Amino acid sequence: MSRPQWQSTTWVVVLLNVALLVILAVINPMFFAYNNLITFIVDAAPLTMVALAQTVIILTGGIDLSLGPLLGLVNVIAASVLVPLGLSGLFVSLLSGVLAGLVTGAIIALGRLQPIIVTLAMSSVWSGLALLIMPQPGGGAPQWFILGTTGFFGAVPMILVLLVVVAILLWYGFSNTRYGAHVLAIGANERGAMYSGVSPAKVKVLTYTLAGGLTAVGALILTGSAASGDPTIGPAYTLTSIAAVVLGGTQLSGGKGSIWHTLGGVLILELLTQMIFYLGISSFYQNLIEGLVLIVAMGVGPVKNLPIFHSEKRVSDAISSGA
Amino acid sequence: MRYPLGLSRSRFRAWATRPTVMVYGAMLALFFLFAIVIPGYGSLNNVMNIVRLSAFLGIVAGGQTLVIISGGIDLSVGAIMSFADVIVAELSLLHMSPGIAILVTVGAGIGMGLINGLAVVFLRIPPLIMTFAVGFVIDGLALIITAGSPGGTVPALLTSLGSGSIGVVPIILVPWILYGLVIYLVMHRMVFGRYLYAIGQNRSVARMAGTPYNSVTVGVYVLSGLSATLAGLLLAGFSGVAYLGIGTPYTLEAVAAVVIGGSSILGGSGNYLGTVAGTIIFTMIQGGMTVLNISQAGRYLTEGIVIILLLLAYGRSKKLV
Repeated sequence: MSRPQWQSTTWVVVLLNVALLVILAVINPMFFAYNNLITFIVDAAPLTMVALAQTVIILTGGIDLSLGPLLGLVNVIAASVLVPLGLSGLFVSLLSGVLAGLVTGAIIALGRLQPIIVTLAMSSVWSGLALLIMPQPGGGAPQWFILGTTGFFGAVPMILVLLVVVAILLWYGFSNTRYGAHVLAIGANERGAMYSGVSPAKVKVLTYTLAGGLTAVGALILTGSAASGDPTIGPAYTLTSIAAVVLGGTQLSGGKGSIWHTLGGVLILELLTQMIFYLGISSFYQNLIEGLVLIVAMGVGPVKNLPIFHSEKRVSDAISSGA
Repeated sequence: MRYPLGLSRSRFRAWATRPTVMVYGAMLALFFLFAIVIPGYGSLNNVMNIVRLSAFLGIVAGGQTLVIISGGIDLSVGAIMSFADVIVAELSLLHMSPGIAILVTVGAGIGMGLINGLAVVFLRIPPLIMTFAVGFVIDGLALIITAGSPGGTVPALLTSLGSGSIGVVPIILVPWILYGLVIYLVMHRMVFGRYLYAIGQNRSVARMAGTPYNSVTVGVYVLSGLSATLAGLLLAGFSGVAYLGIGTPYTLEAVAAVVIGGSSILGGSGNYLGTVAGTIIFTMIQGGMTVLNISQAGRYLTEGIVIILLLLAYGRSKKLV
């Protein structure tokens, strides 16, 4: 991922997004009204941050099922401390996300446990802590903070500036630093990377910590736009974030993928929600449609590799797919 | 010094550190802990109650055990459970006889498992994503079919299976034991089971050695769909009323029960006996916390911490060097 690469999956992502935008333009041109677009971006921002966090973890070959509950935990913390502590409440919230990521990463790396199971357990822990801090939805955010998240930088919403800056930093960081190369290396082949002098434990701890920080930023945006905390809001974000990463074309096996693809994946999911809303389709169908889109998008790529088209390639495919 | 079971010291150590043995140790330790803290916890009635409540998770986790040993994962089981729970009652509104309604529901569950398996094998969609998306679709289908408010009556057969007792023994033990027997036969007495472990150990090698990778993998997801349907049907019988989303929590609990039971999430090792203990541990934590009047927050925290501790005790992978 040294530079944004134009892969076959890129076509699927771009085409799906263009198609959705065209449909939206036809059924409701008002969608592109300036105010509506800003609301759209603010609503999409928390998922975007969680999906970026999920991307860096999936690049290491891991997965994090606890990011959603962590988003909920930091949301609850922020809604409790921002009003009494002011600016230092901001740091407390960010720090709690970073620390949570650090703990998860340390358990995975030092305990030599599988990420999927550790993060499954951690999602239970973060949900419990969130409910402990705030049993009922409540809390609040101070005016300066709400203005900060929903405010403008000239004519450009602050949130958009923030998202773009984070995405560029991540992309630059991953394509130009030794750490970024190490992440891709252990994602592609952990043992090989280790023999080459990379410390998988160190890289993993750093990556889960980074993901915790990114998720905390998402939680802060959520707190600003909702102006309250809700201990049960988080879990739904976990699998949606994985869906966004995968829709963007990043493989779950790790070592390969890109920040920009994930942004494309998030956009697909968010535009789809808008489309269902404006078409007046009953919200009953929302889950069904999202699930089908995911299956179709995942199926389109591999269909051309079906064994009936390349019968002689089957075994070699199985080997190269890593099993 | 003599070691239990007439084993030598090293043999005893090897036996006692097997995941299956350790998870049963953890289960007994937890039981005695609760029995000391909670009066009446050790009574026969309560033990039977724990067994009854474990059966639903125990059956759905059986299918999950097969899937995980084969190297996959099935995140659609909760949705399939909810679907079975809701649909079997909904069909009574169409004046369908209870027997036919149960058969139709089982058929639907098998079909859902088949879709999972075919997509994983032939479209090569990663199981995590495929089964997650299928879960979404099934939840959506249940919502559309019931128009958001499920109704109808649960067949009497299921009610007696799910909530009936003979003396103190819950009837649900009968289907659970039969189910366990079938799973045992499939895993340890049929060639299918050997293929299952082979594919979980190393898919490419198993394929090149001539195991029928495609049909075994599809079969595993079908069995998982079937298990989830059975669990959903029994749950309908137990709860008596159908409601949407009743199965949702079972998805991740089933995965956790399998892994606590000593199966590797990477596939290739594990057994159903361990899963059963993992299931009972989960049910005991939930029941015990309710009796001790500990909030939902405390319950979540305890569950998460117990999983981590058990994994640290016996679920660690080997050092790379």
